[in-house]
Amino acid sequence: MKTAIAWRRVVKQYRRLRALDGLSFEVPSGSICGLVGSNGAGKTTAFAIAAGLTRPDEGAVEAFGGAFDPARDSGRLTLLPQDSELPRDSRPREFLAFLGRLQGLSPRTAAREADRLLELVHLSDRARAPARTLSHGMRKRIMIAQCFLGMPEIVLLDEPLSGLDPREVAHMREFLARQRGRRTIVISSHNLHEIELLCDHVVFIERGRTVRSGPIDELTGAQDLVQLQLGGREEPPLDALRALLPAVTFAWSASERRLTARYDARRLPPEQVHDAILRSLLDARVPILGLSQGERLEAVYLGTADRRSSASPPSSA
Amino acid sequence: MNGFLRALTVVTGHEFLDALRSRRALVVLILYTAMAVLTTNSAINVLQKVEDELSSALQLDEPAAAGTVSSSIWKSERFRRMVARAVGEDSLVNDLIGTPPIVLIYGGLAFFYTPLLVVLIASTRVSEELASGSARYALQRTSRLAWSLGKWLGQVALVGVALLVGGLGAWVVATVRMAATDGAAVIAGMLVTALRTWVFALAYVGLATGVSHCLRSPGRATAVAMLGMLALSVVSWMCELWYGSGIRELWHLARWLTPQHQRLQLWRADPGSWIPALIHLTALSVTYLSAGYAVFRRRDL
Repeated sequence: MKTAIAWRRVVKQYRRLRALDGLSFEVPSGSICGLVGSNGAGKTTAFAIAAGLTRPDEGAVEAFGGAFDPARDSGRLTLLPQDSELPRDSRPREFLAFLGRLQGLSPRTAAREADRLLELVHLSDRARAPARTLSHGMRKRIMIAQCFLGMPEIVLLDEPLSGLDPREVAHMREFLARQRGRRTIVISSHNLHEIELLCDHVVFIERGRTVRSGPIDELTGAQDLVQLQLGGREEPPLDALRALLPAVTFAWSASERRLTARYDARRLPPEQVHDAILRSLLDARVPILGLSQGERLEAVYLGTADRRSSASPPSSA
Repeated sequence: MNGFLRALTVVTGHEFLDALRSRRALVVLILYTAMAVLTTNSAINVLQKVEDELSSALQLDEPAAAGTVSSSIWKSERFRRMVARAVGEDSLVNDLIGTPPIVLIYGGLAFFYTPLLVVLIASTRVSEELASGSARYALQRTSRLAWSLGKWLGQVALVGVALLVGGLGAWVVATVRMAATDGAAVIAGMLVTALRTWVFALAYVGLATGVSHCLRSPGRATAVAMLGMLALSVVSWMCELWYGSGIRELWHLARWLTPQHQRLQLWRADPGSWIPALIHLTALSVTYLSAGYAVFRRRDL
């Protein structure tokens, strides 16, 4: 798959703090990629370098055949920066049109784009209100909107959904999901559930380095692991299941009432495994509350982070 | 239009409009206009009082409006010699005497207050955006140079508007209160004076904008720009005081770094005097801005 943007051995040192320590990863074109890491892992710095706002000490971020240049590649890569505010006296429509014109749109097109995006983020009625009079959530929506001015090919979103109300979160999630295949989106978030719902790729970074990356399905084992949440008090028929599916490894957690089945998807089609397990449970009259493929991303992340922290001492330069 | 010029134009226009409606700029503009009007009015009061006393001492009819007597005095040889002594050179006297009194009053006021107005408005414009992070929205779409120059040009335009509005206020007061303010000469004189002050203020726009590029705190940026403005005045004064031969000629060089050095040149009618002053003040402005930009261009945002 073609790479849209790649961080290559990027190093960034802030006085005594090494924010990025040889960060390397690639994001496939047209994918939605989640960037996950603890506070201070280097996610925001990684984005700032990609958008040309911060200079790396070593390495480079490659997009459009080289390092992104805001003047040359204006509007092709956009960023929702974390902890940034709108200018206090700016008006949403005017501000968006200004940014649109900066990236080369004609005054008319920029104004049209501003209207389209304000409608998209449900703020058409506040188009001329000073930013200082808008709520935090409203301002955040405008900040997200500016990322989609014109036809950006790469969009970097730093904590895009934090601070939005539940209705807007759902709406924005749906909007972002619709962008899949049309542009490359990289989302940094602490909300792993959000990443799981939206992204097809994920990168874990810690202490300025990539600790794990790949397609979400691969990382969570979605192809070869199924988990069933069971109700009632009856035990699942483990012996019958093992006899029926000898190539599958079963694990039962009585306290969580969770049945886990692990298998090799290349040899055993998942549909066949699911069908057999469900039939056996229904025959044994064990209530099934839910079925999920693979591990939760949170469990994968925590497992990776725990292994990492126990393996290496803290790195500060 | 190439990308740089387009971005420069867009940033300049946006900066001008955005600064114009910012609360701080609005308050300072209103204060400036009020100050222009009040100071002109006070100057006219003083003038009228002097004229009344003069008329009474000379047992003349009391003048109906301020300026009637002073217009005659203005043209007298004795007054001319007095101005020549105050200014220190004869060549400038003709240019000053040829200027209507109200224009000189407004000019004196504008040259005194405008640097303060500029520092109060312009010193926060970039630092505010650095502090709030809002600069990142524009700077992911254009070069830092285009953005910085656009900010500077926007402020230059804003100061021009402030001077025109202040001048208009002073002219209205003068028209109502002074007899000698009729005619196109006064309005033309006001416009030329506003232009002279604007040119003088260019250096301060560069100073304030340059400082603003270096600091994230708007309050600190204003304080440093004020100190800078004060330092330039002190250096200029020291240059006047200590300039001499030998090693003291260095003060002459230092003088070239201060806008005050060109202040009187701007009052001359001869283009051979004010054009070099205009070039010098523009160069000073760009120099101050460049010093700030040198820090800003390497800054992580």
